[in-house]
Amino acid sequence: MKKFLKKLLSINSKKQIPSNTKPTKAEEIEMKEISFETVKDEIKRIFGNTADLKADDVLVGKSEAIIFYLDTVINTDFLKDMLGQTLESPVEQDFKITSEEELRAFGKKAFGVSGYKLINTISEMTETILEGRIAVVIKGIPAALTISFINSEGRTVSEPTTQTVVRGPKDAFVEDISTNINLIRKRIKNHNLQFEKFKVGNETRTSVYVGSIKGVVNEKILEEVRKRIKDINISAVFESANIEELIQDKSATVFPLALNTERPDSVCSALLDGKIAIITDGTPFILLVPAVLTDFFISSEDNYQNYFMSSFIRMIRYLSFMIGLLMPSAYVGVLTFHPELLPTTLLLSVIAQREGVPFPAVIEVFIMEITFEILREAGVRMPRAVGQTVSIVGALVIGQAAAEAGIISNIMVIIVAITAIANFVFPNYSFANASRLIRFVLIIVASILGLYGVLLVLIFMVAHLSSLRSFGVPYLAPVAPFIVEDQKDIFIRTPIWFQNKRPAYLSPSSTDKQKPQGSPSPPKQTKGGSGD
Amino acid sequence: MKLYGKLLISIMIVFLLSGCWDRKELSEIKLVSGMAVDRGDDGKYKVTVEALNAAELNSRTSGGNAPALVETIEGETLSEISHQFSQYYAQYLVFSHMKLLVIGEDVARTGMIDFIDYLERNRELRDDFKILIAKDTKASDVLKVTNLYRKSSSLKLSTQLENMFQDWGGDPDMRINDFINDITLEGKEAILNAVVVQGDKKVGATVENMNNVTPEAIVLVDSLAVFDKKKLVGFLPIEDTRVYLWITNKFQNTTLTVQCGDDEYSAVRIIHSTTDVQTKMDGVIPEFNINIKAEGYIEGTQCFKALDKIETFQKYEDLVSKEASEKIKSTVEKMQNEYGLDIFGFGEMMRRQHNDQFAKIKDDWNKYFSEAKVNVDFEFILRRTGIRSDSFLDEVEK
Amino acid sequence: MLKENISLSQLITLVINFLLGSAIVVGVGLEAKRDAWMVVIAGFFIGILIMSAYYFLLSLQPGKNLFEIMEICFSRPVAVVMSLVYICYFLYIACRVIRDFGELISAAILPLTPIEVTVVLPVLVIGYILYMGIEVLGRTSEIFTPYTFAFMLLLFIFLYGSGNIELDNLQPVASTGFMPILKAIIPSISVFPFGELIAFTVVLADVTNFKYSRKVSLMGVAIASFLLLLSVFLIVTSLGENIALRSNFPLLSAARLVSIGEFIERIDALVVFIIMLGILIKSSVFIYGGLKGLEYVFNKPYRFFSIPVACIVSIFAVFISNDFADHIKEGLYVDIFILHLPLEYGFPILVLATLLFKKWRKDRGSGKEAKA
Repeated sequence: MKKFLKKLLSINSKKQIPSNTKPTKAEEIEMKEISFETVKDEIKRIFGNTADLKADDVLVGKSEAIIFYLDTVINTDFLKDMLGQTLESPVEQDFKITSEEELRAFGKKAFGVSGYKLINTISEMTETILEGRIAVVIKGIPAALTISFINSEGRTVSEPTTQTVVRGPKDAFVEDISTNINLIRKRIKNHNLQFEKFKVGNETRTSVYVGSIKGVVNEKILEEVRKRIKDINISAVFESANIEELIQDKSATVFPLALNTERPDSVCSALLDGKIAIITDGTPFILLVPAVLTDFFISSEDNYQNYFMSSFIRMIRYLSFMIGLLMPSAYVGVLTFHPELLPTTLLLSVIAQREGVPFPAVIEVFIMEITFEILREAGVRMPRAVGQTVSIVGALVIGQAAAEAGIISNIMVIIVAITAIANFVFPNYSFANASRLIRFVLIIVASILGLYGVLLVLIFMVAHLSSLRSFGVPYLAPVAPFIVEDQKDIFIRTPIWFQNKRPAYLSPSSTDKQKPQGSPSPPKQTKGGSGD
Repeated sequence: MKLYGKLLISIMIVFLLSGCWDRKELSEIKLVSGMAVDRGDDGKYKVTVEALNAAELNSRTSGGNAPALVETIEGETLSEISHQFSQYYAQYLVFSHMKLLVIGEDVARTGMIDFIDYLERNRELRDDFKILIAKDTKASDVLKVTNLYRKSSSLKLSTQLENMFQDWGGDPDMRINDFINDITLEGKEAILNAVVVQGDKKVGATVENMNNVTPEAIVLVDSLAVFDKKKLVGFLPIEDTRVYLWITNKFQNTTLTVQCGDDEYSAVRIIHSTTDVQTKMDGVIPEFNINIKAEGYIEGTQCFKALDKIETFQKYEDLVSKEASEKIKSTVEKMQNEYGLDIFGFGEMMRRQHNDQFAKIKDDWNKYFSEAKVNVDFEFILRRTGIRSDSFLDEVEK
Repeated sequence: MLKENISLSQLITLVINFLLGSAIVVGVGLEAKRDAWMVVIAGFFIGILIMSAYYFLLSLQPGKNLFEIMEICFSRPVAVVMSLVYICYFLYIACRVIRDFGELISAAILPLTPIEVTVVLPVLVIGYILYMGIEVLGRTSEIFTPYTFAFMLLLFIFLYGSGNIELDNLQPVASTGFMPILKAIIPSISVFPFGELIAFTVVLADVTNFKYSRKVSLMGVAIASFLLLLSVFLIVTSLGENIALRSNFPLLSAARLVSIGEFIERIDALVVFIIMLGILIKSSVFIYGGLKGLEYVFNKPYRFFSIPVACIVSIFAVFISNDFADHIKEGLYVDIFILHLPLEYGFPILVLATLLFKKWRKDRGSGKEAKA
């Protein structure tokens, strides 16, 4: 019986196919073992017959040499200039490079400024060629000189697409990793800002930099981050989201456990609070760990507006989170189970509107919600030219038409529209997605047990949130466990001269940001009086 | 373990899909706004219910049809009757928004108000509906009179009573909790507002009633019904409700007419008032000292035109104080002599202030009440005179 | 077995919600009619006494919970037997608490839904919370407590604003003499809810800063007594003693009276939320007590038992009484003398005496050695 059930419920496992779970590396062959003539063939064999591998014969002094490079990765104009000036000019000079030390000296003289390296193995040469360097192999010397000529083509720094602000810097990260680190370094001109480099992904060998500020960050968390990144064993990494999934704490949850952002100023302020930035090559989104729930409600613009205004907007954000989560389920719950909770005139008006609507409230809500989700996805994926047609306004028009046709009631359109708009208040897209999912669960429960079920699921959700940890930091800090000093930036934004300490839940190495100071006050009048 | 987890989940899904027991779609319910209870011919009670047609009450969706459906059933218990209404109505009746309860005079006079237990115990019915007695008419007729305000009779009456209480002091603001408390307390008797239907009842039950400037039939708040324990014993004129509100410190606003000369009257609007009643036993006779402090302003005058003088103000204050205390005293004496029922709650106040003395006489309280001495001390302060000072009549007389 | 901790602020929220728990559902001290507020004030003093006594008991053996202390006092077999008794006792109270809540929902909110459904779901949530650990319980209670406060105060403001509070209802004060009041104090309120603080002898062992937990838990008792006083005050002044006495769920009936400007009406949901929270936390603490006992008896981590025990509690919550009258009678008359008094007062006094005796003997013995 058990066996039968097991067979029924288990998925057929396919035959095992040998898989490649180790990083793709060329074989480790020492250069001394290959002769000069065969090195070209060796490299060509490793790279296959790829059309962009160039192996040119040049003369360095009097020695023959071959340079290897991938012309799609190299800045070829720059290469031609450089070669013209440095490699080929000593052709009049009568020197030959006969040993590794001479090669090193030559490299220092000619390319000292541009960054040169000597390598000894074929696999290293393959790696360096892939990274955008040229490899110069000179006849008779079992070492190669590599110089970086990388071509950083890519998007130029422009406005962020996801987290826009009204007042504040409008540059955003791009796909190229050096530009990104440039943007960070420009803002934090501090020698304590350190970056550690990792290569992640067996097939893609993507560079990942882990940035932190020494003396501020909690060393234990940094160690944990290092360990987890080193343990990543996956074939491809294209986006920081892949890394996020692999390094976050093991728990089944819809809530994001790491903050991702496109804005340099967010990253910098997080770094200064003691967080760790994980920068991935090929994506403008940077991960910030450890993340807590309240981080997802903060936008960097809060710091650039008046603190009364920012506190008010923060409250609106929390309120819209609750509205986006609860409104459809409250509608279903109240109307089907507890009509006595509405004031009489409102209830009469709702009944009048719902007369003639063929579906029960739950089905109505589901139809509208799913239509909205479809419209929203379509609006995101649609090509720019056509995209504007399918916007919230379009959705409202469809809703209006459906209401006129008698399929749904007018009040449903309002509720779904308010919910959708409340959802867009979030600065962070991944978090908004979590609340979208929970909203559906709440609607289902509301249709079975009314408001009682909604309350139960809410309590369950809070309990679930309390049990999450992000790199050891409780997800609901500093609300629970309640840390009094950290309340300065959670529900309201206190003035910047009042926020003297870094958040305690991160246990940073140094807690004070600035000296306690009062608010700026006008200069005191001297006894002599004004108008001297 | 994984196996059992999957089994558990599949069982739970089945369990959750088995039904939602309390679910009532909005299209399946009908809101009841008013209930009327009369003496039944065959059964104990005849219950009439006014259920709203929600579409008619919304101006966008109204089609000119009747705003409510009123039907009657006879039976022994209100509870069974309220579910039996499915004989008439297509939808479930939901009582949680009921605004009005009308009790027929015949039911009240014979003390058959036992049905109130159902009203108290039921989880749907709340405390916020008004209670009325239908005088000289059947209670069901009260629910059948249409009116242009909110179309339905009970909605109109409940708002009307609320405003009457606030504006003139014509409604004793009795809810079911207060009514039950008054019936069960030893030192107080209950009172309720009473209404009559004026005009042609047959036309009143149709939509045409709303087409005239002066409707053919209208429900009028007419008098105050006085109870002796559970039985209705008589009616007081509606002006006496003010006295009741004054003594029980529920007073809001009213306008008092005072006679300031031969066939000349003035109207004073009294807006704030606090009452303090001190009771004590003077030998075997209880004594009630009623202290009322009130303030107000003049709304209209036919005499005493020189209104910018302080003496005039004082004259008015004296007049109002005298008039008000006389009114209060005469109403209390009327209750003492004609009915012998303490509707004002003096017994309750004595119980709170001198519990030991009250405990001795509480069984015959109404008798003691009839012989009690009542002293009224009404202090009125006139604050202002509207937006004119002297009356123009001054000029005319000259 | 990792040592889990709850912080001091979580402890205070647990104490507050625990005491409010089911006391707010059925009303406390209302046998004394109008003078229920005096009963609550007396209960406050008793609560302080009891809490200090339990704390003193635990401070003699810091870091150990009730079951481990029993082992130190008596031998392991006796301790196992008594632990089983206490496990059943804690789980039984948890069943009663959940049943109270189920009755409230069935009577007032969802009448047609079978009580099994209404009862199973919160217990499963409790099982999940306890499976995640007591820290999660502490954090959840920490998050929701500000809302409980806010709603209680809102209720007070609303009742005041809609003119329902009549202070006259409190008069005459103590007219029937002090006997009914005394009867309500002993043994009613000393046992429910203040006597149930015995469950904290298991929880206090897990607090991070044990030294301050005395002050903190006493503060919690004070705040909870204040909130209970507030609720009793609201009930008596707005309903009047007659109706309050006859109400099955007085606070809910009082909340129904609120009506401000035709907009703020019908706020039952607010009260149900406060009640639901209190009930959840109270039964979680009791079930946690039972789980810790099971951990002690069977030497397995307590989360192993959490979901099965939750299922058992949910089933027994339905089985323990046939109807509401049975449930109330059992709680008010039968339980007090058979269960509550011996297990909440009698046995802990015995344990305390034994501990003190052992300590005295040890001091005397070591004193003798020092002399020799």
